[in-house]
Amino acid sequence: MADDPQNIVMVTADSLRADHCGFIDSASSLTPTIDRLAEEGVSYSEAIAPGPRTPSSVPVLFTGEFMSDDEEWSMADWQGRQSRIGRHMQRFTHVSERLQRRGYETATFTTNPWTTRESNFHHGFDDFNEISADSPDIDSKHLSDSTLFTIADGGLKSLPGDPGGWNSKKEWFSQWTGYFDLIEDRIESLSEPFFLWVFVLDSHQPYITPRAYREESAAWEMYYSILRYWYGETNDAELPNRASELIGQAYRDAVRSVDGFVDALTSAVEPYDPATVFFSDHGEALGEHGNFGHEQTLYEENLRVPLFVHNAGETVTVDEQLPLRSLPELLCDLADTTSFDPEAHTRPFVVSHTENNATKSVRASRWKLVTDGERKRLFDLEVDPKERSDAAASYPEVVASLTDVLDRHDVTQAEKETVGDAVSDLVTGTTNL
Amino acid sequence: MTDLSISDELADRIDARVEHTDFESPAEYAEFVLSEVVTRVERDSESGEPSETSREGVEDRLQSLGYLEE
Repeated sequence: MADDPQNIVMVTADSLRADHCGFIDSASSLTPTIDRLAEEGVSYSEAIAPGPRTPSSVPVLFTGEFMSDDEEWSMADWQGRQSRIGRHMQRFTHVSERLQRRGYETATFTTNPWTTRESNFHHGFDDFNEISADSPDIDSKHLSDSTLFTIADGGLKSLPGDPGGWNSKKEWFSQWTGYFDLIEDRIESLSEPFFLWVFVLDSHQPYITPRAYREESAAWEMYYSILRYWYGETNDAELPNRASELIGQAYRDAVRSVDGFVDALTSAVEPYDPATVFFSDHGEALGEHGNFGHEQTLYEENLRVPLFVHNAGETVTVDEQLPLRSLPELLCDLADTTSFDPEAHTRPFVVSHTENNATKSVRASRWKLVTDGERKRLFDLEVDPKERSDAAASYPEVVASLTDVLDRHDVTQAEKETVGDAVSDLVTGTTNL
Repeated sequence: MTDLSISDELADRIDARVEHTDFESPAEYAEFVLSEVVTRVERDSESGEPSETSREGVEDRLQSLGYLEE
């Protein structure tokens, strides 16, 4: 390990599209701070998420391992899904634990309901703070500093029942401006070296953004787009063009807010000279392929994410693919070495899964093969970056080659499950002695 | 990194299992197995099985963020 290990700050922005960050798409001007930090450090133009949603991405990037198939859950059973994540997090070592063993004090502020103690995300954190309306760690007033939220929460929670379904709407108001003071206070009390992970929900649907960061949406437009989006989802109705435009505006404002968070956090941690790793856990659809939000699809808008490493002694843009699954090794490299190799964890092939493992993709820089076991589609990302046209019939040799990669991946996963089952039997046997 | 020695016989058996997988070497396979064993033993000495209970309100959170399947 390095003589003076560097502090590490890791920021995860839920649902932030790569092409909404200027350092990846120069046509975007939404993220001046993120762009500056990326350009000063190591930016990755082809960072790829292991899954299209938080439950299929974050458990994987935290452990470096894909979740297994088992019969104890289904997509219709949220508690089963949560338990499956919990079993996965129980089985594998977390990046937080690896840093903790290296002498880091570890702390987190996490807003997503899939990353809770119930799903065993607390392992390896000296200080675990769940940001939610019913969190045991914080007062719910920190969920948001929005006047509307404060008035609504104060009025509605005093009424019997759950008027207007308020309890199921509170999470819409998870805004970093409400809890940032908690983060600031914690930073000042951390002993060095520290590892701080903040998982912000501000760019997650339904894109409710503090006024200070709303440049395109008036408040009524923002709320209308939310209601129109939920109506469309609930009724399987196609969104009219105007609603789609408003959703896009609201999303861009949400991205601006995330950039505001990064700006504020960067200032707060500057005295501690940390290496900062910033990424999104997955992307977001804004009407491509008929989808909004993040569905169980493996298109570029779902999987390609922004990623940079700032203040690690290197300034470079890496164009080779980096799977988020490699993040534990990348973070340990930051802790262990005085010379960070930006390309050490790039991979020629990157595999991603949907949460139920029913659909998988393997991506090389030019090609992406997507399969649900029966049907295989091939996309030429150079010629067809929007993935409109299936090129499988025209390039059977590419399909065969990428199928071999996926087959090898599946054999590996099966072998790991066999090992996992054997270990379970072994440990249970030891416990019962 | 720390070196560990294993018998040629065990190495050959691991070699056979590594074939056709993404494990780049028998050493990587062995590390995976050992890591899984040690993690499980450590967890068992901590808190046992993961909590199967969920707080009231978690379902509301998941629903509000669009994670629940219809």
